[in-house]
Amino acid sequence: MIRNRKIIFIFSFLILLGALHQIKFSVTPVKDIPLMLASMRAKEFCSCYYMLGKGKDYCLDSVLKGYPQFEFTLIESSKKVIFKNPIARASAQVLSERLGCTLR
Amino acid sequence: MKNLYLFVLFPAVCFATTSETKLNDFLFAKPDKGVVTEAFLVAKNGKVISQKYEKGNSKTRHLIWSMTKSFGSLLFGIAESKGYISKEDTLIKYFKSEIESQGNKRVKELSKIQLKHLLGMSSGFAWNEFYEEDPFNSHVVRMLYFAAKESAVNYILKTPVKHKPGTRFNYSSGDSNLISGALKKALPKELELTYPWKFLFDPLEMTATYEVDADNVFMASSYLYLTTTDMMKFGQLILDKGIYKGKQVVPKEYIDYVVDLNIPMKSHGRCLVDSYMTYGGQFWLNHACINGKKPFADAPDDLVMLLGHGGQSIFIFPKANIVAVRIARDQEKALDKNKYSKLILEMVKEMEK
Repeated sequence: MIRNRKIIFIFSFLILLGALHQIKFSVTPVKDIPLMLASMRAKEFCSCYYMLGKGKDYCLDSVLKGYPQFEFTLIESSKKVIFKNPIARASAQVLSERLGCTLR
Repeated sequence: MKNLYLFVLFPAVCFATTSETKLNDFLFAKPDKGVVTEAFLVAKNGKVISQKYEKGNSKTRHLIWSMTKSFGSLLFGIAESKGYISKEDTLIKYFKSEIESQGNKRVKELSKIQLKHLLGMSSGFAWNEFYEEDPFNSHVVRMLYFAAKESAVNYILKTPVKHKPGTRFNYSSGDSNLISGALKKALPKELELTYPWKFLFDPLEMTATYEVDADNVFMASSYLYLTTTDMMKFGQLILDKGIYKGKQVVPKEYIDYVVDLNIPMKSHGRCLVDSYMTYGGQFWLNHACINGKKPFADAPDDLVMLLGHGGQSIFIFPKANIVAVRIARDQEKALDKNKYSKLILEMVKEMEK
C-alpha cells in the first residue's frame, strides 16, 4: 500500500515537473496550443485546396489526421477557411494567385 | 498475337538502361523504408532526358518548403546588385525600432549581426528548427502558424541569442525570413509585393506563387509553389552562373558566393559537427571540411543542393551540367543522398554512351 502511494507520488511529481517545464521553457506555452493547432489546420487546408488544387475531402483528411476534430467552414466566395475548436478560432484566406494564402 | 506484344514492348525495354532501372527501383519500385517519390526529373545541358510522375505531371504545382530559401537568397543577390542592400549591412540598420524597443542589452546582442551571417545561417540566435518531432518547442512552427498572423520578423527578433554571429552554423528558417524582412525595408514601396516576379520569376518565365505573412513579408523560409519544370530552370540558372536565355538575371559573383562555404564553416571547420552537410548562402553543399571529409563521399565536391521538407530536392551537378528534381513525401532523412547522386550520374553517363 505504502509502496503504491510512493509510486503515485513520484509519478504525480514528474507530471508536475513536466508541466512546469512546459510553462516556463517551451517555445509555445500551453495556452497558445489550441490556437496554433487551429491556425496550422487553416493555413495547410488553404494551401492544399486553393494553391495546390487538391480536393476538399483530401485536404480535410490530410490536415485533420491525428488531431481532434475541428469545426470547419469554407467560404468559397471570399476563398476563406475557418477552423474552430472549443477554445480557439483561426482563419486563412487567399490574397491572390501570386501571393497565395495567409493567416488572418 | 503474343509475338506482336513482344515486338511492341521490346524497344521500350531496350531504352531503359541498367542504371535507369536501378534508379527507378531506388526511387519508385523498391524504395528504402520511408522513401516515397512522387515525381523525378533529370536534365542535362538544359534538356530533360528522363522524367517520371507518380502523381501529376510537369505542370503540377508543388509547395517546395525549405527549397524556397535558395530562391530568397537569389532575390537578395539581385537586389544587392541593384544597390538596394548589402550583405555587409547590419541587421539593426533595418530593424532599429524593433530591436531598440527590447532594451539596451538586446541592442548590444544583436548589433553585430550582419546580413551575410543570416545568409550563412550563423546569426547566433538560439533557434529550434523542429517540425513533427517537437512542434510545441519549435521556433519554426510557432513562426509559421502563430507569429505569421502578425509579423514573423518581430517574432524572430525576440528569439534569445546563443552564439556570437558568424561563429556557428545553426540552420534556421528565422534567418531566411529576416533576410526577406530586410529586403522589404530596403526596397522602394512600389516593389514591396512585386519584386520576386520583377527580379526573378518573370525573367525566368516561371508561374510562381510566393506567400507573405500578415506584414507582407515574403516567407522566404518555406512558402513558394513551383512546377518541376520551373525547379529545373532554377537549377540550370545556377549552372549557367545566373544567365537565362542570354540575359544575366543574377550576378555571376553572387552565384559564386552562395555556392561557396559560408563564413563559420570556412573559418571554424565545423561542418560535420553542426550539420551532416556543408552550407553556403542558403544552399546545401558537398564541399570537404577542414578534415578533408566530404558529406557524400561518392558525390562530386561541387554538388549544390536545395532541400525541402518531405525529401524534396534539386540536385545541381556543375561539372556534369546536370539538374535533378525530386518531389517526395519521405520520412526525415530517409533517402540515401550519396547513393541517389551516384545513381543519377551513372544513369546520365550510360545514357550518353
